[in-house]
Amino acid sequence: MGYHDDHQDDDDDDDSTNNNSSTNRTSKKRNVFSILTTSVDLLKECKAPEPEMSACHLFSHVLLNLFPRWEDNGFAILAKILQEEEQDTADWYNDDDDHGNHVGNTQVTREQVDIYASMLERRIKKEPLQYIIGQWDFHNCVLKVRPPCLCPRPETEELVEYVAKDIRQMIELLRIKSVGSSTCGRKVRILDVGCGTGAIGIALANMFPKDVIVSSMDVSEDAVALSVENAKFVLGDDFTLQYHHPLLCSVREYTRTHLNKEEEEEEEEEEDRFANCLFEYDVVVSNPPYIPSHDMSTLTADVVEYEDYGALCGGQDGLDVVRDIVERLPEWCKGNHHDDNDTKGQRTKRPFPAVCWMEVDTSHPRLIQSLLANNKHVEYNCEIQDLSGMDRFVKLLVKD
Amino acid sequence: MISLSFISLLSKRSRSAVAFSTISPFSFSYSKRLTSPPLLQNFHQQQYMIKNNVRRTSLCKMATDAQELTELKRLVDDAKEIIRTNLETIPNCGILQQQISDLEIESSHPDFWNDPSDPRTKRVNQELTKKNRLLERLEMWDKLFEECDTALELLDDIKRQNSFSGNADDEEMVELIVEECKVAAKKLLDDGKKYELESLLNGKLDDKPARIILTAGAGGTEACDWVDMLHRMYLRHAERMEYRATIQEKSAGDVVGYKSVEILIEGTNAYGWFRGEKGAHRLVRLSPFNANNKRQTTFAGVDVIPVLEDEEIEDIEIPESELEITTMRSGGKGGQNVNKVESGVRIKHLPTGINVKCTQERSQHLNRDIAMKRVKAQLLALAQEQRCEEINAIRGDAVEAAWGAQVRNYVLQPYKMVKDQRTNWETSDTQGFLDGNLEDCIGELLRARSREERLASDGAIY
Repeated sequence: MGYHDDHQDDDDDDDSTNNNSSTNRTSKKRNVFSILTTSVDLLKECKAPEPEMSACHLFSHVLLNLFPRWEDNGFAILAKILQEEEQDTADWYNDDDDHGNHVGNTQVTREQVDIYASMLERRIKKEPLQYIIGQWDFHNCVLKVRPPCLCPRPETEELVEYVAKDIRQMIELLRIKSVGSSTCGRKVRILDVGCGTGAIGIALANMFPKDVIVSSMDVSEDAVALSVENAKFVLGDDFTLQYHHPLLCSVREYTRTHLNKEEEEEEEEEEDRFANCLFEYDVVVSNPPYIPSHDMSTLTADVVEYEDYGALCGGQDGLDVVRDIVERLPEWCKGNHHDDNDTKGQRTKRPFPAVCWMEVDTSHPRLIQSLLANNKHVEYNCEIQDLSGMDRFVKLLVKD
Repeated sequence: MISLSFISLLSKRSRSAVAFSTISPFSFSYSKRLTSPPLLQNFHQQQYMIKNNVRRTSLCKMATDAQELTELKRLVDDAKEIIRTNLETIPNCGILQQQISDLEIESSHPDFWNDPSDPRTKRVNQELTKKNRLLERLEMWDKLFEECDTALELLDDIKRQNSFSGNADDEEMVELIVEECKVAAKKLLDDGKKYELESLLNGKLDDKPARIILTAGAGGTEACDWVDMLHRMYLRHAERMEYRATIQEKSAGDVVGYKSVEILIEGTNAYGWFRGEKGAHRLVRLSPFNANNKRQTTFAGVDVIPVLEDEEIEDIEIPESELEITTMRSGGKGGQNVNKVESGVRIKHLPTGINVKCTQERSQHLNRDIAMKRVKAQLLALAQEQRCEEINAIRGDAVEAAWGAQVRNYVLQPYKMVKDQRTNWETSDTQGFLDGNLEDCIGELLRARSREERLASDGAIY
C-alpha cells in the first residue's frame, strides 16, 4: 500500500516539527502536505467514501500538535491545503496567522503516521468517520458517537430547529399565563422517542437550559447508556435537572393502559416502572427508524454494514414505529397539567395544543396524512422539506 | 540695524581672521567654560578674532534663522488651521466635560453593572471612553498650541533684543526652542490630519472589522496573477496602517496566483477605511503569460464587507422567499439512507444577488448560521452604501452595477499610472502603490465621499 512508503523510507529520526518555507513540498519528507495528498490518492484508489473530506477529518484529528482543540476545525485548514496542490509556496505571505504554508510543511511524527494509517484502513473498509473518531458535532453540541447507535445526520439538526421554534412560542405562552402568579411559567415537557445518541433531546435541553425538561426512551441498552454519557458531557453533572435518565423500553411498552388482562401481574410491574412518569408531554419528537425494508438493500456499505439495522429499518413501508407513536400520542400528551394552575389555583387548560414532530422518509408525509384522516385525537398539521428539497419532516397536533 | 559697509568690513577682517584661527564658534562656547582659553600670540587679538568669528557665524546663522523662522511659522499656521477646522465639529471643553460627568453618573449607578452585555451598558462605556479620549486630545492640542505660541514669542523677543550680541548661549537656546517648536507643531499637524480622517469615517458601520474578498475576473492566468498582486498590495497596506490582516481563504488559480482570496482586516475603522476599495480594479500591462507578450487588460473584483456582532444582525429578518439555501452535498435520498460528512451550505439572496457559502464547520447547522450572518452583514453594508433606512429598500439592480463598476485603473505599460476613477486622483509611482502605498488615494476618496454626503444631506433638506 502506498502509505507505507512514507514512513519506511527515511533514515532521519528527526521527529521535530521544523518549517522549511522553501521546501519542495512534493519531496518524500514526512510533512503534512505530502501525507495528506498521498492518503487522498489512496482513499480514492480504494473507493473509500468522501476521500478528500475523510482524509481531512481523520488527519486533523491525529495532528494534535497543530490542532489541539476540536473547535479548531483543523479539517477546514487541511481542506484548503488540498486545494493548493500545484501552488508554488515561495511567495506566500509570510504571516504567522496564515496557517496554510506553515501547516503544509510541518513534519509529521512516525507515531502520528501510524495512527493515521490505522484510521485510513478502517475508512477504506467504509467505517463511518464518526465511529472512527468517536465524536461529532451536532447542532451546538459535540456528541460522543459509538456503534451501534445511529450517527446523527444534518437533517436531524434541521428538525431540532423546527421544534425549537415551537418551543419558543410555548415558553412565551406559559410565561404570559403565569403573569400575576407567584411562580414563573412551568417548564415545557419534551419526549424524545428513540433517542439513540441522545442528540435531539440533548440539543433542545442545551438550547433552553431553564425552560424544558426532557424525557427520552430507546429499545437499545447501548443507546440509553450513550444518551446518559452525552447528557453529562454536554449539559454537565447536574444534567438530570433538564434531562431525565432515558427509559429502556419500546413505544408500545410506554403506556399505563393494560394491554391484556391475563398479563395483569406483569403489567403491574410495568406500571411501576412508569409510575413516576408524567404522561403530560407538550412536545413529542422523534427520528424513528423509517427506511422501508425494500430500500435497505440500496443503502451504501458505510451505512448498512455499521449502523444498527433496527435504528434504520421501519418495516415494510417504514412506518411501523410511526404508527406506534401515533397510537400512543393521545395518552402521552394529555392536557390539564397537574400544575397548570391559574392565579386562583384552578386547574386550567394548556394554552397550546401538544405537538409531535418527526423526521421521516420522503414517501411518508402523504401516507401519514391518510393514516390520520379519520383519527379523532391526532391531526396532521404540515410537512416540511429539508435543505436538499426532499419531504422530510411532519408536524402533528394532539387534540385535547 | 547693521549697516552694509560694516558687514563688508567685518567679513574682510573675519576672512583673514578665519585663516589664522583654529577656533570654531562651537569650540568657543565650550572654551568659555574652560578655565584657560586656547593660546594665541596676543590675548586682545584673540579676543577680537573670537568676537569676529562669533559675529560672522551668528550673522550667517541669523540669515538662516530668519528663513527657518518663517518656515516654522508657516508650519504652526498649517497645524492651527487644521485644528481650527476640526474644532468646528467638536463641542467645546466645557460641554464635553459636562457630557462626561453625566455619563459617569449613569455608570456609577449600582444597577449599571448588573448585565455587562446589555447594549445600553456597552454604549455608555463606549461613549465614555470616546469622550474621555476626545477630551484628552483637546487638552493635548491646547498644550501644543501654547508651546508653539510661547516658542514663537520667545524667538521674536530674542530676535528683537539679541540681534547683534552674538551671544552663543542664546544661540543654543534659540536652536533648542526652534527644535521644540518644530516638534510640537508637527505633532499638532499630524494629529490634526489624523483626526480629520477619522471624523470622515463616521458611518454607522465604519468602525467594524472588514472582510475583503478578491475575485479574479475573466482572463485566466493573467487574472489570477492580478488577484495575487492585489492581495499582496492590501496586506502590505494594512501593515503600513497598523491594521491586523489575516488571510481567511485562498483558492489557487490553475497555473499561478489565485482565483479568489479572502482577507480579514482588524483595527480601528477598518471597514470605513477599506470600503472604498469595493468594485472592479483594472490592470493593463504586457502579460508575462501571453505567448506573444501582448498588452492585456484584466479585471479583478474586490468586495468589502463589515464583520458584525451577533446582536447587530439578529434584528434583521429576511423573508424565506428571498433566500435560496442549498447544501453542497450532491442529490440522492439523504436522511437516514446516507451518512455524508459534507456539511457546507450556500445561501443566495435573490433580490440582491448576494451569494455566500460556508464550509468551515462540521455541523450543517453552524455552517448555515454563519452563512446567514454573512448575508445579513452584506445587506447591512449595502443599506449603508445606498443610504437606505431599511434593508428591503435596497435596490437590487444598483447592487449589480456597483459591483461591476470600475473604481481604479492600473496601467503598467506603455506608461505607468494608477488612477482612481471616482476622484481622478492619480500617481505614476505604480510600484509604490502596488507595494501598499494607498493612504493618499484613500484619504482623497474619503474626503470626496464626505463632501458628497454633506451635499446630499444638505440637498435632502429641500
